[in-house]
Amino acid sequence: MKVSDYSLDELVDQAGSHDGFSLDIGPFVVNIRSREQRFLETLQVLYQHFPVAPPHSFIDFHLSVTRPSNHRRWVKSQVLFLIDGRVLFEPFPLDHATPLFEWGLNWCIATRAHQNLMLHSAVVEKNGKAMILPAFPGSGKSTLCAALAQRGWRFLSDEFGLIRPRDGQVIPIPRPTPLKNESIEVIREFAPEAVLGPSFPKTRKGTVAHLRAPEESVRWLREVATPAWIVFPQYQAGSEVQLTGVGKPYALFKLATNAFNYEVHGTAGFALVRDLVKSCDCYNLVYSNFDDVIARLDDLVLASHGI
Amino acid sequence: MKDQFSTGVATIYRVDSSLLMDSWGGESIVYNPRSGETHQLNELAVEILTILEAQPASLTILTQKICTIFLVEDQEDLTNQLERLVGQLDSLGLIEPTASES
Repeated sequence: MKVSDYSLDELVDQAGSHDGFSLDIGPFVVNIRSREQRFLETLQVLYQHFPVAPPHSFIDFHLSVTRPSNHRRWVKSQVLFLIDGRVLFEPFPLDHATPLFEWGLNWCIATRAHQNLMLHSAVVEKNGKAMILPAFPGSGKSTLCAALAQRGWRFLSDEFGLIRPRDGQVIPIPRPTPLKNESIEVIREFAPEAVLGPSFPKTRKGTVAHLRAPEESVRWLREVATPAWIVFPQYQAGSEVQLTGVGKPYALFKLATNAFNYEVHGTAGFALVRDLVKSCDCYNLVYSNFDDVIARLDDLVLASHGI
Repeated sequence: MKDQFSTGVATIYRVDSSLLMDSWGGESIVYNPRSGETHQLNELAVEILTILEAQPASLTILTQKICTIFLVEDQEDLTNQLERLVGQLDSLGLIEPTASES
């Protein structure tokens, strides 16, 4: 069953029950308990194409999104994010339940899911080859990744480049992409058919709206991809597309020092990133116009197939 | 680092044998399992590690070998540079003092 097979009432009933609602996001199953209808309504839109885990599935994260049981419940409503029944973070305003959930789930994955190497990067794929887009502040990787996903590239991830240690393959986790500030309108204009959730103003990162993954990308949830390119994007207003090869030591150093859990994997982590870099072509990418940059990256794919 | 000129004792350095290094066209990356840190090294640092990996050496010996490899004429200037660099490599745990010789 998929999330879209549930009516909102059924989803609210299930999430409000003792067993909660178990969402399969690919490498993890997330059990959600909540009675917050607006949060669940948005969840249903953003995760519409994802499978619902069958009963008695192994649960990776038990999460609750719920109001605190104190007087503020009636003054200025807040919402809490609970992990295994424990509150680890300060409450958010009630109407920010979705950003709190997405951020909290990121925290769970980044701090607990060490079975894979977790690069801090977006990943897209075309013709069976994956492109890793590492995240650096202001690089515009989420916006670029969102644009590529709307133009025929398979979307694997916006935040976590999950590398499987045994074979170096990339594991998809196509959760919603949190677009920020100007990027929201940019993507709305670029791809009017794209589905975005509500805008949440005044978060710690400004206004945030979540972009739903294309259905086709979610359909390939179990299909790992072979990394072929590591591209360090940099948005620069008014610039032409510049795709410049970079040295492998530079790429290795930037990837490793920006990963979530590289140190956790120790020597094996170094070997994994080294082998990843060795197997990929590495570039710096400066861009401003989506059509131009997508055409350039499409050319890269064709060239890799000798076309 | 001991001052070999004022004390008359020279520290011998060696490479941490657990280091993992990879090089591409003169550029190198080294991983230190003890610290979990990854470092990008320049050519001079790589040469120091290579020399010390082959055989532990004092700063004086290192200077002589580096002078030969890079065809340096001003040995005094290089000694100062190497002293700083060896100190940095030591503080990063990439090399370590192993003994002293008179």
